[in-house]
Amino acid sequence: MSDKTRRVLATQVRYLPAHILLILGGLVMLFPFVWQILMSLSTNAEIQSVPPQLIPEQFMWSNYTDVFAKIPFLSQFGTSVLITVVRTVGQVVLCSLAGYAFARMRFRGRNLLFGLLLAILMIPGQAYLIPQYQIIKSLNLLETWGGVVLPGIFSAFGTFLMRQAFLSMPKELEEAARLDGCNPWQTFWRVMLPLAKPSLSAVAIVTVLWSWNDLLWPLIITSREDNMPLSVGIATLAGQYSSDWAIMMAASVMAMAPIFVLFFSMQKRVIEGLAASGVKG
Amino acid sequence: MTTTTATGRQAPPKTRTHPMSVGAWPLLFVGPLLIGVAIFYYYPIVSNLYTSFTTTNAFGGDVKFVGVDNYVDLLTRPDLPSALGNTLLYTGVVLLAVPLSVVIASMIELPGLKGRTLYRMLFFMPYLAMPVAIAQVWRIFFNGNFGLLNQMLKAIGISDPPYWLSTPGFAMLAVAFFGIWSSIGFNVIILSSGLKGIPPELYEAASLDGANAWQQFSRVTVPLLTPSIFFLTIMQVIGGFQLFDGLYAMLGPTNPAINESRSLVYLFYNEAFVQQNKGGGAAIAMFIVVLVGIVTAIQFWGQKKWVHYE
Amino acid sequence: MKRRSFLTVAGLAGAAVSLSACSGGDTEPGGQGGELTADTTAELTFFYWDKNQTPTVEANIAAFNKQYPNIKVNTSIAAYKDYWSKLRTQAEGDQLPDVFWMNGPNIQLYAGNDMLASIDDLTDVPWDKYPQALVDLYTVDGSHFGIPKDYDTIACFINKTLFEQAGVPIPTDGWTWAEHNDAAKKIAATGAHGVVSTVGAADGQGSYYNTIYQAGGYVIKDNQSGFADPKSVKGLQFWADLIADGSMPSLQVMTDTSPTVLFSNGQAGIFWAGSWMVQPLLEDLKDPAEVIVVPLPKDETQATIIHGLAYVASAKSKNLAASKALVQAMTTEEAAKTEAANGTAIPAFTGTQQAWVDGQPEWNLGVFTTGADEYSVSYPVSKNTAAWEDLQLQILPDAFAGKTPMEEAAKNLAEQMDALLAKE
Repeated sequence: MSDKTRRVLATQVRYLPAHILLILGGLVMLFPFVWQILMSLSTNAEIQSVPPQLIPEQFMWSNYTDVFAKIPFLSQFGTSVLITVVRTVGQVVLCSLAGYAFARMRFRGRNLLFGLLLAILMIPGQAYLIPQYQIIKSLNLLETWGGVVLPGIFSAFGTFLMRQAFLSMPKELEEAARLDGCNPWQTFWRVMLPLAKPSLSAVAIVTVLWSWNDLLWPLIITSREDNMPLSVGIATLAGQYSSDWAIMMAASVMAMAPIFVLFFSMQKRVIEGLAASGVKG
Repeated sequence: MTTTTATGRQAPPKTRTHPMSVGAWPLLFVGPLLIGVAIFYYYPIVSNLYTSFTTTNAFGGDVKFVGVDNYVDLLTRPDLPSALGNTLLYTGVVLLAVPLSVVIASMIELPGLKGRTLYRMLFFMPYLAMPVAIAQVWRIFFNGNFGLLNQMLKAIGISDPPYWLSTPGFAMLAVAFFGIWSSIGFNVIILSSGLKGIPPELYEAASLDGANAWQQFSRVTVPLLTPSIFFLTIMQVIGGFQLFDGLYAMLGPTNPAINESRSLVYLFYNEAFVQQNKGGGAAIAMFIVVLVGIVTAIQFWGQKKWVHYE
Repeated sequence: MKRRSFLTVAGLAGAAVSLSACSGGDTEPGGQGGELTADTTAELTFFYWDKNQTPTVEANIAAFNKQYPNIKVNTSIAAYKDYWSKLRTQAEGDQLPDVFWMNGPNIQLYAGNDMLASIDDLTDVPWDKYPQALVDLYTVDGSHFGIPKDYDTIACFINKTLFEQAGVPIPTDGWTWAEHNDAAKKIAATGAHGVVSTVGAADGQGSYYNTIYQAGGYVIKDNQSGFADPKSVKGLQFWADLIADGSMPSLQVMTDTSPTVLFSNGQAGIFWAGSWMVQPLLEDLKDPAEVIVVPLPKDETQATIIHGLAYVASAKSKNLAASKALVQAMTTEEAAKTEAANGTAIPAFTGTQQAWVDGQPEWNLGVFTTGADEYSVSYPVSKNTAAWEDLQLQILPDAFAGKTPMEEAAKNLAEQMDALLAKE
């Protein structure tokens, strides 16, 4: 056993309480997810049985193929990707710009403006629905992905998050950039933004998930099976008096699989590895 | 480019007025966002404010100005105190998610910890599953007839455990648990990225000073995380006051226990979309904004005492 | 107006991914309100909520297109609960679909606020071929606003095995409340649930509305609440008594596990439910052969609530004549036959129901159609039905659970309901 291995092992032993707590907590987090997968392989009768039957007698892989017969999965998947990408890019750009200004620039009415920005989170979301619908209608964007994307790219939440990120960065870097002759845009783009990558990716992840699962707004804006995103498509599978849970679960497992892969492959780059590289940027 | 005079003269000592605080720069940075916000959010809020002084028919037509009648009606509603109380209780309980997430994130990001990727994925999972699936699973967990929770309670000798989802009071606890559970994944992501921003040298220095793990946590980690913690606290409070989806998802709209679990937003929804009283609903929405606005302003005012920015 | 909407649509074509769901775009002058001919060109939007009925909808649209080959019908769908959120938003945004499904609780709300087109001018609708209760349901202020599509009535689903175990004979048509309660009690004594229903969810249609009318009471008459009527109170008390003596599980048991699930798992002897439960039960029951359907028990009289959906047209449709023609085409005898054959709902057109009844011969589904023909009572509605249905949820569960006296609760409910009705 090399020294290094021994050292790593010793550390893990010291961390044993943390490992135990994290595993227990992690299982609580994981459990609905596993259950969902099991439900997606059950019959509807098994899902509805009393007491619930956790493990299906026979794995119903046909639930997955049935999804394709019930909704135009691939085209709705494509719409979801489009909407999610545009929303995420839009939010990341707008929020980082505004968040930087709110954190680092001094201008008249800054705090008031920021307070008013946060206020948009404080009103029940349902109150926006009809006015926003009328605006989208007057912009002639009903039934378009533009209409689905628009209100959501302006985010108080993302701006707040980016503001906090910029606030916690050293002022000296900016000062140095200024002395180097950078204008505010260059300071932001070349110095500060690279440092904010962890928070940027946090905004991006949250926006991706939120946009991917968003139901009410795209449901209002899109009407046809070939222009609605997957979240809406899956929701149409619910019946008035009873639902085919198994198919719905299978559809939603298929819908979230790519997000899962995306996050899994990205998470190292997303959360880690930035503290070091950021300084170089 | 910048010929106008500097507007910000409140610069802290030792920092001269920065050139970026002058002229059109702030406008260029904030403008794009504010235009969209004005169109898609301020306009609806202003129109909502106007509606709150009117009565209309069910579809917003037939508008009549009624002054502050809707607000008088709201403040004299017999169910306002309980809705307010439920909302405050819920918000208070789900705030526990913040310290819980700090502990979890700090453990995940312990230097040299193995399995970090796996842990991150685990705590992130709730965010991936479909909301309706999650609610279904937790409803089965809390089910009073055969749920896992009551089976465990019976196993440890509690012979008559409550019907969590259909007993007022307990129902609120179940909803709050669901609220905490669903916000942890998000909180952990935010805190993890905050933790990554803490230079390792600080820990090394602390450790050279003889600080033990707890001291490092309380003197290095937590203070440097305060901007993120502050952010999460604000968001959690704002989110708590918006309690509605959780009630619907966990209890369902026809659960008898929902009568005693109604939240402010539930009142809003019910007034505007069930009772078809749009003016009354709009007044409740404005009441919520003012209330949360005050609470948030107090938090911002209080942050000077505990939030450490660079 | 038409020209402008067409131009804006055309101008947008470059920017938008797709926009054919806008209801404009008709190029034939004949599309506007005038005479419809086989050549009429138009585009209509049609909105509905039940994916299970898509084959029926599509078949009927295809039939419509045989008659009007140049009228394109774009369908859209949302789940039931989302359907109403969307429809309301569209209504306020002046964007209602041309033709859509309507239900009883909402008809007066939409028709009374000028959202729906009167269809009185449709000349050859055979109104006498639909159940009168449904035609009346969709008649507001003397005008027809919808043509019935399907209907549902309520009956008792019986678990024969549990009846046999308890030594109780399978009920027959004309059985009484006393016989019902006696059977439920005996089944409960064996450890199963005697009877279950959606009473806990304050779903009157599936439970106490029926017993109120059976007892000779009423829910609403001449815009006055009938809940405080002593006979109505008797109909409500029926349920409180069942819960009190253990024949029916507590509201909590039925809230945490829905009555449907309890019944389909063979844990309840009698299940009060609508004809809409036939399909789901067939799919979820472990042994469909142990189930049979019998009429609701009677008290002073025999009664079942009848409700049904209708096809309606938007008042603002740009192709009103075409929209009305579609409403009519979706509710013809032929369309009803397609509906019956697919088995998803009982078609409203008289004489077409047999195929639906024959879908599950052992279950005696004729009970539902006989009930509709002989002793059905229309689903009680007013202009804002949802408002006082919400009151029921607030007030009645405590009384069913025995926490408040029923008479007091009913009086309270009637007073508050009358206040709401006065505001309509």
